[in-house]
Amino acid sequence: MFRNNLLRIMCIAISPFFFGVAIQAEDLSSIQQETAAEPGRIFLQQVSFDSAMVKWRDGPDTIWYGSKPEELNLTVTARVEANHKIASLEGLSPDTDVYYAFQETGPEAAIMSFRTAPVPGAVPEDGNTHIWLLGDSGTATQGLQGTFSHEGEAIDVMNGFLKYNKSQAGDEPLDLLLLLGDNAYLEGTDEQWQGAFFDIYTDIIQGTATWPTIGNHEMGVGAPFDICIFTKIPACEVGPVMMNVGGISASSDPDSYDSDGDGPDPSGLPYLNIFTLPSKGEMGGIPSGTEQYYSFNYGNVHVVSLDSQLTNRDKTMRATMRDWLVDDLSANESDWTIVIFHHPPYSKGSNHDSDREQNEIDMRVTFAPVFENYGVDVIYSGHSHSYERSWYLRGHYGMSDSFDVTRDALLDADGNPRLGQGSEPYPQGGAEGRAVYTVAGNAGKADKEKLCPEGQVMGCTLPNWLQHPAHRTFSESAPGYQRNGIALKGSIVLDANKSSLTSRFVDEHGQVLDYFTIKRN
Amino acid sequence: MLISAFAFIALVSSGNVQAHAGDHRALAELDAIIKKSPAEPALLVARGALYSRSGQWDKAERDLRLAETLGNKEDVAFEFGRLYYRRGDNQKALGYIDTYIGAYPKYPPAFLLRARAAGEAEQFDIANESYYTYFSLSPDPQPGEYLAAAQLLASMKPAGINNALALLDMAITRLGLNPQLQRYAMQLELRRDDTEGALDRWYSLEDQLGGTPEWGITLARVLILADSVDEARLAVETVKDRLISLRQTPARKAAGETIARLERQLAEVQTNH
Repeated sequence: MFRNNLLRIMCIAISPFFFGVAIQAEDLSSIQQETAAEPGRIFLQQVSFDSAMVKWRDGPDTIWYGSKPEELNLTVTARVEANHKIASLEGLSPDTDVYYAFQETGPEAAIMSFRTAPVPGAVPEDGNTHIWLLGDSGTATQGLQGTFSHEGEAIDVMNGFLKYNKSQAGDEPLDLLLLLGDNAYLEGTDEQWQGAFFDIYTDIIQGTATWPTIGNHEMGVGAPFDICIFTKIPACEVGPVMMNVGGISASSDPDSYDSDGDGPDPSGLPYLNIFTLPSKGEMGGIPSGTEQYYSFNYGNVHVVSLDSQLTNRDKTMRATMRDWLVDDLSANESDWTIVIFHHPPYSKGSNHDSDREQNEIDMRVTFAPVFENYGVDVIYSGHSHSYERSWYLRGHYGMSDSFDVTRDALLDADGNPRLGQGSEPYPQGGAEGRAVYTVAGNAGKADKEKLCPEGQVMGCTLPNWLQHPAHRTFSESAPGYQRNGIALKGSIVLDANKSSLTSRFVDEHGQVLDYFTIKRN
Repeated sequence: MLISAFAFIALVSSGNVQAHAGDHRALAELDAIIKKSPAEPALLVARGALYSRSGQWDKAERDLRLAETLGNKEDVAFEFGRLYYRRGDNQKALGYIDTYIGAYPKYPPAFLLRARAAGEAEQFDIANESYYTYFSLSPDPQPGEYLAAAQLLASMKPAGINNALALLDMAITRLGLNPQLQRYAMQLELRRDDTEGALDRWYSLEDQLGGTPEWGITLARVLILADSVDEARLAVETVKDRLISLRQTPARKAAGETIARLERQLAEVQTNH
C-alpha cells in the first residue's frame, strides 16, 4: 500500500524516534512477563455509595475485601474484559472504608483501601468532597529521538499536590480523581497509559476512583504531518519529515483508532478498553448510551464528562450529546455541578487557540449556553499547557475580540470584574446562570515563551499568548506569568462542601497560585 | 484487520461540508509537502479529502484522480464515494462505495456512507440493509448514530416510521433505555397518530426524567393531544409544584413561563368545552 511506502520513507528519515519507541515497548513487555504472577495496574472505577469496581491485570482472579483490614471476609471473582480483570463489589455501606487485597489477610498481604461515596445528596462525613484534576499529565511517555522530553515532570506536579495536601489540606484523602484528557502521550496506546498513568499515580488510583475524558492524544495518530513544524531534528534540514503524529487525528470514530499509521488497530481505542464508565446511569445521572460521555453523582456533587474529541466532531452526534446534557442537567439536583472535557472553550494557549480550533469553537458555541442555562458551576479543560481561568461568565459565545468584560463578567461595586476571592466569593449562578471556565493542561509540562517567526503559528507562542480577555488578569511580573494566564506546571484541587466550592491551582512546589470560591445562596 | 490507509485518511474529513478552522493551515502544509513529493498518493488523498470537506470539488477530484492513477483504485474509492455523496451525485457515490466494500467488506464507515447515499437516492432497501450492516459491524455505536439512521428511515415511505421505530427499539435493547432515542420514538408515535404509544414511551422515561420540568411539560402536551385534559391539568400542577422545589436556573425560569402558557391553553380548552 502507498501508505506503507510512505511509512518506510519516514522510518528511514527519523529512525531514532522509532528506535526509541521500540526499546520502550520491549522493556514494558519484559517487565510484564517477569511480574505475570503479581496483580498489576490496580485501579478503582465507579465507586458509588453501595458498590465499586476494582480493575487489574495479571495475577489472581479473586479479591478479598471487608470493612476492617484484619477481616477481609468477603470475596469476589473477577470477570475479564478487554484484557482487564474487573471485580464488582456490591452491597457496600455509604461513606465507609473498604479494605481489599489479593489474598486472605496475613503478614504477606498488601492491603489497599478506599472509601465509598456518601448517599446521593449528602456531604461526606468529613464535610468535604476533595477532588484532584489532572490535565495533559501524560508526558512521561512523550518521546522523540529515543529520549523522553518531559521525564519526571508529571511526578513533580504530583509531588507538588502531595506537598500541598499535607501542608495545607490536612492530608485529606482524595474522593475523586478527574482526568482532563491527554493523560498518555503521544498516541494513547495501552503501553503509554501504563507508563504515563498507571506507573505514576499507582498508590492514588488504588484508593480513589479515576474519571477520565478523551483528549486528542488518546486518539492515536492522524494524517501525515510535517513534524519539523514543531521540532528541528537533523532530517528537517533535508526537507519535510512526514509522520503520522499522535494527537492530530480528526476522526470522530473510535473504531478508527490507529496507534502507528498502518490503519485502524483491531483492538480499538485503548481508552475505552481501559476504563469502565457509566453509560447506563449506573451512578446517577441520565444514561448516555455511550462511554464516550457520561455523568455520575458523588454525594452532593454531580460530575459530567463530555467528549470534545470524537463525538464533538460529528454534527449529528454532537447534537445528541448536547440533548443528553440538557436532560442530564435538567434532572440534576446536586448542590454542585462540575463539567470536564479536553478542548477549552476559551484559551490562548500555545498551539491551541479557541478562536482557531474547531473543537474548541464547537464546545463554546454548542455547550457553553447549556452550562450557563442549566446550572453548571465550574468547567475544566486541558489541551493548552498552561493555566487560565475565567471571570464569572455569562453569555460570551463568540470570538475573543467580541468579549466585553463589563457585559460578560460579573462585576463588583466599582465596575471591575470580580475575582471570587477573599470576602467576595462568587454567588452561585442561580437564575442568572454563570460559570467559571478553567484551563489546566499543565500537569505534565508547561509551554514556554518562544515568539513565532513571521508566518509560523505552530510550535511557538504568538504575541497574544495567554491573553484571552475572558480569563482573569494577573499583575505579577514573575517568570511564567502572562496577562491572562500562568505558564507553569501544576494541577487543580477542588473542594466542595455544603455551602461553598473552592478551586485552587497548585504548582509543582505545592504553592497555591490562584483560587476562587463560589458560595451557595 | 488492516483497513485501507485511504479510508483511514479519509476519516480526517468526517462531517458535512463546512469550512473548518485549521483546514487552511493543513492545506498550506500539504501544499508545501506535495510540492516536494508530488507522486505520493497518500498525500494527494489527504489533500483531496480536505478539499472535499471544504466544498472545493474540482480540486478534490483532481487530487483523487491523480492518486488513483498512482495506485489501487479500490483504495481511493471510499474518498471518491464521499466526494460524490457531498456533491449530491448519489448514484456515482454508490458505485464507488460498492467498489470499496468489495475490497474491504468489514469496514463500518463504508456501510454508513452507503446507507446515507442510498437514502438520499431513495434506494430505501439498500439504505435499510446498509444501516443494519453498519450497526452489526460497529462495536460501539453511539445513540447519535442510531438517531441519524432512524431519522433517515422515518423519511422513507411507506414503511419508514415503522422501520425507524424498529431500529430505535433495537438500539434501546443494545444501549439501554436512553432519553434521546425514546424521545424520538415518542415523536414518531405521534406522527403515526398513536398517542397511546407515545404516552407509553414517555412514561417509560419517568424514572430518568420524571423530576425534570420538561418531562411534565411534554407529558401535559401529549395528554392534551390525547384529549385527556384533566390528566394534562394534573401534570401541569405537578410540574408547577416541582419547579418551586428546584434550584433556580435560567432554563427552569423559562420552564416556568412555558407552564404559564400551558395553563392558559388548558383554561381555553375548558372555556371552549
